[in-house]
Amino acid sequence: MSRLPRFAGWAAASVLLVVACAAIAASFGRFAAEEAEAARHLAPSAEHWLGTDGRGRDALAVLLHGSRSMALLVWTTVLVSLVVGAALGGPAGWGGTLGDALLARAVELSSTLPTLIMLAVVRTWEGGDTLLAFALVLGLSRGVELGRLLRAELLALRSTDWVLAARALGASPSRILVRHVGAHVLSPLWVSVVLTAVHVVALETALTFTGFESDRPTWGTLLGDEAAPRAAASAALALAIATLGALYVLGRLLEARLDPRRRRRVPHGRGWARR
Amino acid sequence: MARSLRRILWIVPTLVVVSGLLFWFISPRTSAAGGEVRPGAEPAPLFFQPSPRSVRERAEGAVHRLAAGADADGRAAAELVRLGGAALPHVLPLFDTLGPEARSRVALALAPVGRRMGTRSDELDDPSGAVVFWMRFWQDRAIDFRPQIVKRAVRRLAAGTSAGRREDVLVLDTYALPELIAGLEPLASAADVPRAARLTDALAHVSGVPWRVHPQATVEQAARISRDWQRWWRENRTDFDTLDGVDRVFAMLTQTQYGRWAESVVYGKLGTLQSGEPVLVVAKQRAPLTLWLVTVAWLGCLLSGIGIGLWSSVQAVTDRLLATAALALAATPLSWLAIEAAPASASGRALTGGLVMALVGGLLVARYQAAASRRELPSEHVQLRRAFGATPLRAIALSFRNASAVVVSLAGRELPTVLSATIVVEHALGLPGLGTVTLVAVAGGDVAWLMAFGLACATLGALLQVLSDAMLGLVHPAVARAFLEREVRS
Repeated sequence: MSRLPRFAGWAAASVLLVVACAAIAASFGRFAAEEAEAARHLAPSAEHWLGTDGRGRDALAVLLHGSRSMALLVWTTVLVSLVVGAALGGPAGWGGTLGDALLARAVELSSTLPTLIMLAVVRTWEGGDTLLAFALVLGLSRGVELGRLLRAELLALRSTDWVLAARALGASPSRILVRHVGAHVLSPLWVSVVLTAVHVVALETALTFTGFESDRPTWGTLLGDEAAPRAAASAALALAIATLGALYVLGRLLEARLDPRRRRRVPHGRGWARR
Repeated sequence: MARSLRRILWIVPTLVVVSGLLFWFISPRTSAAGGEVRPGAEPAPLFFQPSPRSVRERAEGAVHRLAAGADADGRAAAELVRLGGAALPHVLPLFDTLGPEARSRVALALAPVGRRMGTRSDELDDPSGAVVFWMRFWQDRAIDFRPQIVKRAVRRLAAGTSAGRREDVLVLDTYALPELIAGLEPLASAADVPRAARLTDALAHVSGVPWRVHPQATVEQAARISRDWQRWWRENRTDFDTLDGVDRVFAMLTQTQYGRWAESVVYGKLGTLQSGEPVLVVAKQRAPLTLWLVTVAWLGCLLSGIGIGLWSSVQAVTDRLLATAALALAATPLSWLAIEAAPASASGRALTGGLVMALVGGLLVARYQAAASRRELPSEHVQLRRAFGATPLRAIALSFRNASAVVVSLAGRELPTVLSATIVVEHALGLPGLGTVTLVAVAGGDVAWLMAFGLACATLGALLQVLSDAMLGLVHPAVARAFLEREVRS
């Protein structure tokens, strides 16, 4: 528990940094796209600190505006995936065969097309290049995966002795689920949430790279731009700060706080291995 | 076992639903998704045709357009010519209800049909003469436009050659198509070839499709042309046939874009790409490379992920390094890695692509494995064995069975992710796999390819899912017990 303040500090700093970037972006005047051919892929200068991207836009402006859309995209996707995952995985792991069958069908449905292709198809629709469309498609896809993960965890936990004991003592299924089991499934769920956030950017980059570029300013646009290495490196750094700091550290913090077994004893590191 | 079998049986109805949803998902901006649409014809609805069109509706529609003088572009006249003899029982009785000018227009539009039937009369091109010709024709020949008469005429043509027998069939024009197509079967020996030659000659004459069997053709050549005609008839039957009762209900589903696609899949056809190449041929050429990449990436990321995850669960330093590396790699575009590391040769590029995917995926899988292992290591049975002197390696092995549930579960779900990565890697390295064709198909709205690709992914994904579930029950005793409890309750 002594490590928690350090985690919390890192998490808060990272979250604040991303939020600050998103806030600055709103008043950042240099985003006005300079779509002229001559302004494309300019080297860093006093006017354009990180140079310009393939459309002649100031890379720093794209980075800042991208942080806003990326934050929105990540959290919307995570929210959708959590709701879908809980709705599908909970009944499948804790309920009867109907919930299981529903999840199985959802899994088969979501594995029909790779997510990249689904997103590319949506982007080719008229009006399909929106944050919400992207978040919904990806959130649904990741939500099914989350549901499957949750189901596996719940199936393993439902037959444990302490769950049987709680049941024998007269606890209702919902109380067992919320009070006892819930805390145990948070750890893998947080790993999945972090990876969902990483997936969002990875897919955005992949879409840009494969020719389905968004009109919105995104980190993916910069990351996929090989002709502007400094801008791409800045986007990678921004991504690393956001995921490593805001999500990973926050995830580990909550994991450590919420998982009862880890709270009780953490057999981690060399000390445990030597014992 | 029974559970797995039941899951496998569920795959078929699931695929039907999946294909419908997929069709809806990828079709919105495509008007002719389910097959070719004739120029000028309205595109079919996506899933349901409330008023299916048979030869009657098509013929009456064309007559009304001609009668109203609304056929400046000649489409209605062309439609009547295409429908031919099959339309006559629905067109000629309407003459009494039409005004003189409208009647003349319709009669003149039928002139090419009359010539196709073998009529050489000049009356066909004269407005009043054409009307008289067709009214007289219907008075004389209406009795011939009955199924029994047609069957007998076609049977006589099939039995032997004579100018009279051929004329008897040609005068019925497209009305004889169902019997002519049915007469092509069986085609088992050389003795059947002359019959096929006579019938295909009549078919080619009335339909304008030039697929004729030569009298000296081999049985195989004749059978191939016969199969082509059968396929043509499946695709065009409703244009020349009337729809009543169950046929009409069936047509409500089949006269749709999805219905046409589903019908072609049932007959083993997956359609053609927009470039004209058959989907199956392209898939056969490109699938091996993609499957190889997917296998290397999938197995690589699972095996390396489990290994690294187990190790990092007991090594804090390794765990932090792993987390940093996983996130750093996740923040680096896959295409960069693949391009930077790729050698010049095609096989080298493919191997590099597979290994890059295995590396990135492995580090991400390791996160799950490490989280699960960290949770299992403090459990009583592991701690007890440690107290009795088990080595750390032995403790990891003891906890592995319970900790592997998450990764085994993931294994069944990883396929779409691995496929997404494969598509990017193929694109980045210029590898000629399924991914590059799929990207072109998405950009061009090539529904035939996307449906085939989607169905293949869904089938493979569903099978992997069943396998993953079976494995989950095997490796994790608590999961097996939960399955058993559920079976007993249900």
